Amino acid sequence: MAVRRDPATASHGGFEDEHRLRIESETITELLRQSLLPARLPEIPRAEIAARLESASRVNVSGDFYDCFAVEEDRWLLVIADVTGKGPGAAATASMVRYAVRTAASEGQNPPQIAATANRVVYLGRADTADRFATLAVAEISAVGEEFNLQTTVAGHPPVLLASGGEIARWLAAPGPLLGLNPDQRFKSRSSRLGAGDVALLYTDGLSEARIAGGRLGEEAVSAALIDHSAESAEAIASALAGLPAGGQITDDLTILVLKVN
Amino acid sequence: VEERGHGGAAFDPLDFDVRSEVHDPATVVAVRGEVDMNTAPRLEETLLAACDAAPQSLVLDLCEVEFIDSSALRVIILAAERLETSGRRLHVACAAGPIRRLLELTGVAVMVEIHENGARAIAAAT
Repeated sequence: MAVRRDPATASHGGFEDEHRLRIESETITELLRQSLLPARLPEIPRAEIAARLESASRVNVSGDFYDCFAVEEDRWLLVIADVTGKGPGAAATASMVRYAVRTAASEGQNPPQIAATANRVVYLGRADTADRFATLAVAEISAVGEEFNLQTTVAGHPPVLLASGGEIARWLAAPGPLLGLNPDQRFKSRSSRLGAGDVALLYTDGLSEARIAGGRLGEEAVSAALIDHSAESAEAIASALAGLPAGGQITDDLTILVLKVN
Repeated sequence: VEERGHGGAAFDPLDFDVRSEVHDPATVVAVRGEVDMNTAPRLEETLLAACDAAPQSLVLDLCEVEFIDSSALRVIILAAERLETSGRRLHVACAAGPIRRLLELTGVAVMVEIHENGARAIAAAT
């Protein structure tokens, strides 16, 4: 996004300056937001991935991000996180979490170990930055023959949902606390097989807590929509879920990561 | 500036209220409505000021709260940690329900003392 500078009007201040500053601010926000996201999603044989990050504000970056990358030839990591607060400080912490996760994964750590590493990084970061915490969901998928093994760890984050055969399995078991509370925190994980047609959904509370007429959307509505659309492509599922908030209106950033096995 | 959504004006400022009352020797910070990104700064100001006023015990009454998000959790954590430096605990009144579940799910529940209602919280705190 470029700002055309017209010497004849540039010095007239007021509205022009305000407009220019606003556009520059939106440009910086957009760059910051993009720096937190993968440029492209990895290709996984026999599976599709789709992601959405709908921002509540054009001028204020929030602490939501998703990430997805190959750890090895047949192993991938899906990550979604939500840092408390908004603005450049939240984005800086989000960036810290993102690279803590990537570094931990590249060192061969599994999801609970990755969460423990990210937890220590957020905890230590609290000494330098404004007090910020984060929620995190990490899912590692590895190819096992025609199927995939899925291992997930959740830290203070909404559950990972699995749609399989028209039913939802909520991965609520042993969720760990928010990142940044206790430096020695250990995390647990759950594992499952994913076969053809199965869908895994990672999302931030900007989706489940989106305002609708008469209240908040809620996790039940998210689960129901996931079942309704689970036969569709990952992209179509992501679009359907992102469209759940009435009129597309959201007050918090909404982030969605969908994995569908073909 | 919120570009999308209803912003705060239609809901939060009208629904939200936080007040601090002294029930000697306890101070009770009672909250009403929704605590989210828009209203959490007001909770932070009141609750941390109450911490710094160093009452013998501090109760955060969430019984009339309809919704909290992570920005509210952040404020509760900061208050609990601030009290902990002087060996005190934050007492939270919060009936069983989604808010209590969120406190438990996020690990915040173990940092505070949770009670069924305000009266029990005050009784336990004093």
